[in-house]
Amino acid sequence: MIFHSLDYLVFLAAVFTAYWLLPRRWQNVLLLAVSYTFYGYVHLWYLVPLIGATLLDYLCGRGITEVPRWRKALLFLSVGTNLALLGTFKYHGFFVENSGALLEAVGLPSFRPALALALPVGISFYTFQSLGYIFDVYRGKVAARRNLLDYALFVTFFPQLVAGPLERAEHMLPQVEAPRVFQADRVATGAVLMLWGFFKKLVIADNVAVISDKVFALGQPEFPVLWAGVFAFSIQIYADFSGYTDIARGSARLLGFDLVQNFNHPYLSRSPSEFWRRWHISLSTWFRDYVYIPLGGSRVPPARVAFNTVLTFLLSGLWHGASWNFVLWGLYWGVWIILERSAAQSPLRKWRLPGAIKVAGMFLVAGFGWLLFRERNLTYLGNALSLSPLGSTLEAWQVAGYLSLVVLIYSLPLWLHALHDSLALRRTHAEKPLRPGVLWLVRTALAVVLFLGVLVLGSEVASEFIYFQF
Amino acid sequence: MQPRPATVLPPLLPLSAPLSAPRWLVLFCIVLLVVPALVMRPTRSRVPFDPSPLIRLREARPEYVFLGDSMLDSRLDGPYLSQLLGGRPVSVIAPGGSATARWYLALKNYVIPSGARPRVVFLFFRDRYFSLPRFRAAGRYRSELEASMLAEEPVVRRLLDDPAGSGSTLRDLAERAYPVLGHRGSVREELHKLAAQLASSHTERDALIDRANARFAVRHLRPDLASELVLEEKEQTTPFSADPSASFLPHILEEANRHGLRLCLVRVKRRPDAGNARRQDPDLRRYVASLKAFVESSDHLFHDETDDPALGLQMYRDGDHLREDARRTYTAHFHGKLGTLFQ
Repeated sequence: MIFHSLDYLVFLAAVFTAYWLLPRRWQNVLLLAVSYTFYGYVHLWYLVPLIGATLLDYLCGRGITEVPRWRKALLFLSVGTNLALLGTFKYHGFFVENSGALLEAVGLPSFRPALALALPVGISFYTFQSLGYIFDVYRGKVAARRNLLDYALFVTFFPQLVAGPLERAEHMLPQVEAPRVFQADRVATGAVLMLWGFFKKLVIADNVAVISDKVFALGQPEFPVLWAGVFAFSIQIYADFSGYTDIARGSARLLGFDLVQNFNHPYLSRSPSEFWRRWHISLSTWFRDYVYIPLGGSRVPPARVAFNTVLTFLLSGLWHGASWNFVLWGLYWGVWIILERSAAQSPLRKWRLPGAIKVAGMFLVAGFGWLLFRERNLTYLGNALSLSPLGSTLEAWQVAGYLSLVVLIYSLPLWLHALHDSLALRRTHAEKPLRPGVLWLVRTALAVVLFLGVLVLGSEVASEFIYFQF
Repeated sequence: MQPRPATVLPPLLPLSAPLSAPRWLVLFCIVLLVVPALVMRPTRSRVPFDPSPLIRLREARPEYVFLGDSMLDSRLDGPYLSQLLGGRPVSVIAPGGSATARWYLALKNYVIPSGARPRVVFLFFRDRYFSLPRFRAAGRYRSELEASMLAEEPVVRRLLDDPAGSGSTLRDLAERAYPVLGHRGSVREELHKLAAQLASSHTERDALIDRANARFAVRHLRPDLASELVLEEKEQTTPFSADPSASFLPHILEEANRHGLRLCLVRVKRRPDAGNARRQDPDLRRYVASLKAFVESSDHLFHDETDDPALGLQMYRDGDHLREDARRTYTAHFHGKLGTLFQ
């Protein structure tokens, strides 16, 4: 079931009503049942790997705590099985194709079995969430859970099952285990958050997707048109993914849960590392805590730090998809982070650029990264990188200007939101809270405006969330 | 005797005391759901019936009438067909953006009352149109539809306006509750015009949009994507249904039967691939076979152009429309193919 469907709204309304009417002990049972319904709505077999991974990690978690001499073996079993699951569904085709190409290149007979496996949506998210739990149990950071129902709900909770945010056991499990209290305030803020998510997805992302999809379908785009498409994709992917997250967080809030913040205006970043502190926060902190730091992090010689950084970003790129462009994209960001660190230790650190220039520069850096991310065909990527602005016609610049303005118009609310937060208006609100009546009026007005925006400006062609494919 | 104290009813919402959070929540939900429903809700009276097509039909007294949308308009050259038929009159009613509701009304309120009694009424359609009664019937299309409606249109009311109709879906209910949804296309168009105007000038605006669209024509796309786009079909597996509460087709056939008119449904060939073939999934083939069987069982004709190799890619302009200079070729081809009907 997808969030931006009327089916989901009906489903959520029914769940919401039943959930708050049920006594506490039945609430988790209901949530688990509806989470499995939500996930198996289109393909029932998707439930098989999900339930399998849940059971295995539940047992491994308990085994790690209760049978100390097997803890390492159980850790390897859990990690190996989860990675094998991911490898089978997600990387099998990539591995087979590239091995075959390699064998052909050296003149050996290649093998290309025609085995096509459908990728269960969200597999990268729930395996990583489950792995995080196992690592935390192994390190003693989190106690292994004895209640299978609670643990299964932690892995399966429908608002965040398909595309995150990736939850940590220490944040989510206590919420699953504690009683939830109905609070009108939280319901209203959850609804507003969902509406903002729908607005970002249906109005911003899906409308600008028309432009980026068209540009990336061109055989020979001219330089300005290509970059108008990259601009469109930069907005699309942010609005799409952060919109999904807001719908997930809003839905969870309706049910009394708090999911972690996943985005914090990434396009206001002034450096590559800041970008990664603001973009897909739950994934970047996952890689930081479970890959980068165990590799030694920054407390090793500089060459090793550089290696750790590049490896972490390469793995992060591969997490997004089994394709060379994602590897390139990971490498690209790894190199930028290393450059940033090197600059911080060189005389360049004394340069003081105005914040606006840094933000604009970072937007270009991120945009270039999105070109690598979006263009999966390496031949076309090569062509795109060889384009020159000098060879373009005036008409191409005009068309690119028109397309960019369309993107800018649709994305205006995103920029206004960022401006609101960056001008510290949010802090002012926190320091001088509005009277409850005024707050409710503001909320209501905002909700009506967002809902009307979705009705009037929502794209007719609603596409799937980009991160569903990961 | 002491005067009786006046009865004071408590206010529905206690205005003096602040509202509690749950009451605010109820108010929040009501305002959120109701206010958008009031926006752009049509308050005007219905568009009056436009008799001009009726007058034109009465004057022309055509022997052949063609009904359809821009697919028909971009294919058939009426005057040329008339010329091929030795001057026998032909009428083409092909309003762009029309669909089955409008064709039903055109047959019932124009063709039949005109007294022209054409030998054949051709109906040009694409794939699953006859299972989409609400297609192009809301928003801006509604006023165009109303111009073809008489004071009482029970069939239209049942299929389009009755929320309990069997064709009703969540989406339909939402469209009825929030009429503003019907204005999406026009709002988007205005936004694009604004962007074009900012990028050029008011006079250049439309030309710039045209130039931008031309850049994304199918011939400029990557070969693999172009063929994918051509073959792309929205996945629909609903079988054909002759249920009169879910399609205008049974009503069209009934009107034709009642007035002794012969219909010929023409399924146009959608844009083919580079090999001039149009791939169809098995569901669509089954759907078309059921549709054909239903039409022929009602003693009407069915002509499917989809597998006609003579209608090649070179004849197409954008999407499924034919090029202006292909109209005569198409008309002559059509005349040749369905020659027996024109004798």
